[in-house]
This record gives sequence, structure tokens and C-alpha cells, in this order.
Amino acid sequence: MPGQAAHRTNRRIEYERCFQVLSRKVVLRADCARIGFHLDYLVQRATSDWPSLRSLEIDVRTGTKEEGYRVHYDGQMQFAHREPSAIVYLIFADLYRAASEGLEDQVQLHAASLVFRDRRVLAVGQSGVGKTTIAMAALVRDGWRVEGDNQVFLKNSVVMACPRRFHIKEEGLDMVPNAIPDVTALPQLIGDGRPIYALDPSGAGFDWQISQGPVDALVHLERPTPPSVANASIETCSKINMVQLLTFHANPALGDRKHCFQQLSMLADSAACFRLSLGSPIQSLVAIESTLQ
Amino acid sequence: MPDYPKRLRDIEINDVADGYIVYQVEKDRVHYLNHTGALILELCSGTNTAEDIPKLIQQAYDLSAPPIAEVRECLDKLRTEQIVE
Repeated sequence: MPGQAAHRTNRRIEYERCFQVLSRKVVLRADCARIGFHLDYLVQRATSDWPSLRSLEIDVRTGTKEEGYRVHYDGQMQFAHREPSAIVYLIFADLYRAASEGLEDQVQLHAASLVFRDRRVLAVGQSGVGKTTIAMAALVRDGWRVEGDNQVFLKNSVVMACPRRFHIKEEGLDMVPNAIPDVTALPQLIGDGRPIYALDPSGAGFDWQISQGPVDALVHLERPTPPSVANASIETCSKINMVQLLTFHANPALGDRKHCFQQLSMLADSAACFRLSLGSPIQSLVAIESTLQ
Repeated sequence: MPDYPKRLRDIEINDVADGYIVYQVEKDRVHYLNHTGALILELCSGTNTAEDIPKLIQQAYDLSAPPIAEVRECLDKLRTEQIVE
């Protein structure tokens, strides 16, 4: 519509970021710098070999005092909300749903994807066990690079990390004390009443590359029992046991459990399988390294 | 009448290096079989009798005696779970 176009061209843009999330090339704009700090949560600069198929323009506009911010996708008004954090959550959900287009047949596995000297390790474990802490330790340790701290897409034993900022708790920041000069500049979420910092490793000077490829080792992260025992120890795990463990951390594609078990079985069969009783992050990484020598 | 155990059709078998992951589609249940369990299931082809299977296991693992009780127990479980008829 001519009126709309005029409105768009005349509007002042205070914030603009371009980035790719899986299949979507995203342009994110706002007419208010204040919400830009919150919108930064969505922005990540991982380089990946995933083909960008479609673009998506997300426009956040200041509305009336009652409605707050108005969010448009490709020029179409979607929703309005007064709370910036709610705006970010809603856009995040929509963006990753749209970006996952074409990945419907992939199993989503909650795992950190780490690469040690060209060998990929998936660190699997329940929420809060320390996937991100291990990932942060790997980020600063020689020989390692990190693809993702939370989720991978899996099909036919090939995985690709989901490009999302790492969610770091305060204790995780201690892993890279010099890497992030100003923590307060990172977008934050609140989880369990505590702040979670959303880190883009490339923004902190680290190489953040994500590629599709096979998995060399599957490591199930476990808290030590008793918890006071702090030495990391790693042991081989049967393939069957690993599939059992993986099922707790997988989201079957389209609820297709048959497909999910098939994919998890193929993955476990193609990789070396281990259970790691966590010690300090560095000890834990050294234990993983010992299996990859 | 001889008993010829046979795998049911409504199961999805995923093999890994050390066993089988068996998924029952209609029941939405999963079973994890170790190497021996997987071999017993493999032998439930409808052409081997229940009496033959321990002997075949004995040959496969070079055992001194056929594991009759163990195989019977495993077959009972597979039948209870309706993986084998």
C-alpha cells in the first residue's frame, strides 16, 4: 500500500541488524534504540554452511502508550506488547519456528556441540547439568571450538548445532574472566530468579563456526555422586545405554517416535559413547580429550 | 505341536553394535535388547523351534551346554511384551 510504504520510508530507524538463523536471512529493525538492547538477544553471528533460503524482515515500532511496541513481519502487523522482554520471547519463538522450515524430519537433541581437533563431541545432559559451562571452558581452551551450547539438529548421523546465543549463568562467566570485558553489555534473561547472559562468542572475539557433520563421540554429562567428589571420570557406555539416555534429551520430529529411535540408534552406533561424571570444567574437558587421543 | 517363535510385524528394529532397540509402533513402547537378546529375537524367524534356539545360541557363543533356561526366560519376556508370537 502506498501509505504504508511512505510510512516505512519516513520512519526513523534507530536499530538495524542483519543475520542468519538456519534457513532465514533476518533483518531486524526498530525505531527505538532502547528496545535494541533487548533485541540483541536475537542477534547472533555464527557462520554456517546452511543455505539461506528465505528472508524475513522483523520491524519493531513504537506504538501508543497503551499498546507498547508493535511487531511486524515482512510488513504485516503481528502483535503488540508493552514489555520488551515479552516482545523478544515472542519474536524468538516465531523466528526459530520459521527458520526451522525444511528441518521437520530432523530430531532435535539437547546437546552442546564441541569440536576438539576436528573431532565433534556432543555433550548431552539434563538441563542445568553444565552443558554451557563445559562449552565455555572449551571456548577458551586450546584445540577446542564450540558450535552450540544447547541444541543440535540430527538426521542420518549428521548433526548441526542450532545457532543461538549461549545462555551463561554467572558461575559460567568465571570460565572466561578476560574474554568478556563488560558483562552488563550482554542481553540478559532471568532464569530461576537469576540473570542468564546471552553470549554471542563471535562478539567476544571467538571463532563461531557451525557446520554439518558426523559425531565422533557422545558424552553423557552426569553430576558426581556423592556431589563432593570433584574429580572428573569418564567411562565407556554401551550403545544401547546411550540410546536410552539420549531419548530423555530428544524431541522427536513431528512426534514420530519410530523415526526418533531410528535416528538415535544410528547416531549412537556411529559414535564412541561415554558417560562423564563431572569434575571441574577443565578436568572434564581433559577427560573428554583423553578419549579422543 | 512344535513351537515356532516368530517376530511380530508391528515392531521396528534398530540395531546398534551391542544389541537391538526395538520399538513397538502401535503400543508406543521401546525395548532394549543386549547382544544375546538380539540374537534370540533374530532366531525367532518362524522357522526355528523353541527347542532349537538354545542349541543355535550354544553354537554361536561356543558354549559348553545349551542355555535352555535363559532362552526360555527371554522368549517368555518377548512373548509377554508381544514382540514375539
